[in-house]
Amino acid sequence: MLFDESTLRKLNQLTLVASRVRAGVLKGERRSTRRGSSIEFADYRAYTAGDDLRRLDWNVYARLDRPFIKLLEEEEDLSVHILLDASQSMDWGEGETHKFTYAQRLAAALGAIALSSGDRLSVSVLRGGQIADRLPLLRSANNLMRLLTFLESQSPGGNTDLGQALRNYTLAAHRPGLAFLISDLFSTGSVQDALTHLLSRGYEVALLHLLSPDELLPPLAGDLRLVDSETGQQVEVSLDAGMRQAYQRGVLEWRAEILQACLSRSVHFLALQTDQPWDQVVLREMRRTGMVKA
Amino acid sequence: MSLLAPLGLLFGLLALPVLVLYMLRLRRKEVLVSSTLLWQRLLRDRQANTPWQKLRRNILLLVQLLLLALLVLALARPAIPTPLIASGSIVVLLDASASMSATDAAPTRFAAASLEAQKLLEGLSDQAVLAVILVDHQPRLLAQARGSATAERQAALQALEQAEPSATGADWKTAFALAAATAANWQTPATTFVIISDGGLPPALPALPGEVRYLPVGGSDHNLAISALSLRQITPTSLRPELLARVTNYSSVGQTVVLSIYIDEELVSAQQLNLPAAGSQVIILNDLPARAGVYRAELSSPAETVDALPLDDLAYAVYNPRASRRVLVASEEYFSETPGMNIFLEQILASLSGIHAYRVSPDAQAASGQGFQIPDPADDPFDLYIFDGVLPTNPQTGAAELPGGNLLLINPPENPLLEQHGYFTPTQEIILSDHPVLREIDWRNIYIARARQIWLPSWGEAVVRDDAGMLVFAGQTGGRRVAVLTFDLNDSDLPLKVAFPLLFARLIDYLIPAQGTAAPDGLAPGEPLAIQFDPVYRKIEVVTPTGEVLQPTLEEYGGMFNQTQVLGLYTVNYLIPATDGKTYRQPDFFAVNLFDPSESQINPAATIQVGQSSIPPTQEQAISQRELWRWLAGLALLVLLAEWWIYHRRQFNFSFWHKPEKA
Repeated sequence: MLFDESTLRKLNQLTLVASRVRAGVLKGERRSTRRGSSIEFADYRAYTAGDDLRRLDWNVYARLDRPFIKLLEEEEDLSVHILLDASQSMDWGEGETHKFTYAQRLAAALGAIALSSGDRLSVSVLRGGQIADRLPLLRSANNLMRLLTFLESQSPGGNTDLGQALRNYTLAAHRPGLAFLISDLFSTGSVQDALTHLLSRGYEVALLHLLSPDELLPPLAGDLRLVDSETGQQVEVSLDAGMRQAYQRGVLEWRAEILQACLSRSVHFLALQTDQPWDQVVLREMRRTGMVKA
Repeated sequence: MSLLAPLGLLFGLLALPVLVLYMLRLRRKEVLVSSTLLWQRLLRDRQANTPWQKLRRNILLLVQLLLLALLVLALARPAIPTPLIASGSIVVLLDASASMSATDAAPTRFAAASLEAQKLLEGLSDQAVLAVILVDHQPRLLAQARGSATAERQAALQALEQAEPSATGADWKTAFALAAATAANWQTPATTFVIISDGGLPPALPALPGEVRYLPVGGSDHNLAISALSLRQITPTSLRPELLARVTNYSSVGQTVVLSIYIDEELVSAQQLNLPAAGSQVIILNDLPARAGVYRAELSSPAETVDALPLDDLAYAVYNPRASRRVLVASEEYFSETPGMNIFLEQILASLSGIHAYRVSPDAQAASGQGFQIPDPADDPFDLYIFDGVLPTNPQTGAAELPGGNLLLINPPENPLLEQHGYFTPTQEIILSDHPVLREIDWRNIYIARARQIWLPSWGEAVVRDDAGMLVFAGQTGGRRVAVLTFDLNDSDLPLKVAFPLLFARLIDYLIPAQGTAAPDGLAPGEPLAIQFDPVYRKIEVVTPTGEVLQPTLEEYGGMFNQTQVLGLYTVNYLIPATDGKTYRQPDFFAVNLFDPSESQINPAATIQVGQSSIPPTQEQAISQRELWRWLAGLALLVLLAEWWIYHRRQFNFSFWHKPEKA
């Protein structure tokens, strides 16, 4: 089980925050900025030829002897897209700090929040530049088990080409919404290009950048030949104290670049380490950054 | 620079296996990582500093190659040719006599000579041996070192740096013998003898078993010296002294100098002397105080005067007019009807140095004809009273009355000091004690016909006796010493024996010890001094001119003190333990002066005579190879330590390093 009952209860009290809500097909629990045909009265306007006479407010006409049309609030559902990086590089770490396990838990938590809020949820697994697997659209909290079963069945493997994968995702006929990308971003191609595909289609993006502690602080020394777990590429390094310090600086600079890229595109960004308790990330960090609310 | 073993460079081929080993060592360990993306970014960034990065990667290799280069070069034995006056095994005779303190070679001739010896030591090749003999009045081996033994060379250099010249002359004959013996102990084919000196060598020195080189030091002959200083009592009865001082100019030019005379550090005379080249001037002072005192003569030079040797510009003399002992003799013969002499006694007393004997005049006989009077000791004290067969009497009572001073009583008549009853005839069974007065005296075959039966008093100690009675005894009573011979010398054949003068000399020394030092005109540096003292002084101490306090081990009455190498005034303190628990010091003085023309004549000799050869000054002609391999080996050790440090720094545990900040 990805999380227990008590955690689920806490998650059910949260709602995902989308600052730019997109129109849904069904009547959801979210208020829309558009005036639609729901039953909630919003405002009046003067009758013009051609308006639907069923929307004429007869009481106002009787009082004012002038015809006015009744405007109503349209209530919509939010499309939540969870995009889970399942490349080989996510198969790193052990136990609670395993990156893919951590990512599964995050995806499960976000999915549970979306389902309990009545949002439309889809979960896609990205691998090798493709959508390797996808959970069809779900709605309502009754589908939580389906979500968890789907996520538990996934395993990491293959290489990473986020740009291609996200491009392919956006080309599919999905209704844009709030997209959570959970990845270590060890991908060919730039992160900016990957995000651009989503942003250009109207998605609101939240990027959860996941790394393990030994990727930040590698416990290595000496003359080494490093082998990439995804590509098999080899890099020869002679690790001394100076080299390690340079690597640490490089990691921080990389994350700073990603942050800058996200800020400039109004993309939510959260830098995570797998030694942080995942539930605290959702319950506190994401609330602090405004990605979820109670 | 040359290479003494160029084949050692072949070891440079070891660089090849070092490179191979290094490349093998570079087999890297394969480690799987989640992604090499960040590592590739890092290496791309560092590519801009490629040469430096390559160097950092290969720095261990470079250090190891440097280490190999240093060791290979050391094996090739690089050497710097050093011109020296001698090469191979060398015995250096380093002159340390007084003239080597001359300051014409800065700072002194000895310092310059020591420096030359140090150069020879530093240029010593690995197969050679060097010894340094310090030549003063007691030549000794100062240092010896093999060229291959770094510790020995260092010790020898240190010994040379710490060596000092003496104030004495040089015993070159002994030094030559020591040098020959030293060289004979070595297993080297040939030895060079290098004499570093200002050339004051005596003639007729034996030849040395090897080549002799002479390295002169110094160049000036400018020296003024106090060449004599002595004091004499003007007359035997007057205590007033006369001082004689001689100043000599050893220079080849006339010089002016000021001679100052001090008595107990009070200036009594100062005269400017204008001395011609190689000339002397004698100064006599006779208007001097009639008392004991320490006289100091000192030369001071005006600015235009050059005096290269300061050791002989100062001299001391000690005047002690009471050093001689006064003895009053009274004998039966003086008061006989025909006054005569006591030949035995007077001859003995005349032969003893430091004794002024006075005879009691026959006029001193009492008017009654019994006894005689002696000068009142309060007015005219004597150190010793010898009464032979007679005793002084009280002029009023006529009874025997002994003076308060030290006494030698020979065949004494009745007197209040001794209890006696008649005579006895001594047997031949003489019993001798171990009293110091009997030291080295053969009492065998001495016949005594008859002796007075005098009981041994409580203060007395038997010296010679037999079963019947005392023959000779001595002791201390009433603050004075008393010795008694109980027999008439005319009743014995003792005066005819060899023991007689010796016994009397011992008795005189016991009764009135010749306390103090027998050196009125001072000593030469290194000359031993005879010190005599009364055994009542438990010990003595000698304070040298430098303030060092020495406690020589002397016999009961004195002995020889030979630590007189330092010039100046010495103080001899006789230590008297008093009843109040304190120790009183009775001082005496003696001087050590450099009155040695051979040392004051500082003109360096052009040649020296060794055996049949006349040796001129040696120019530098030998080339010694000063090897550098030790320095290279030391440097290699430092490089090895650096390599160890670099290697461990690279392998150091990461957890110790700075923790990165979280993104």
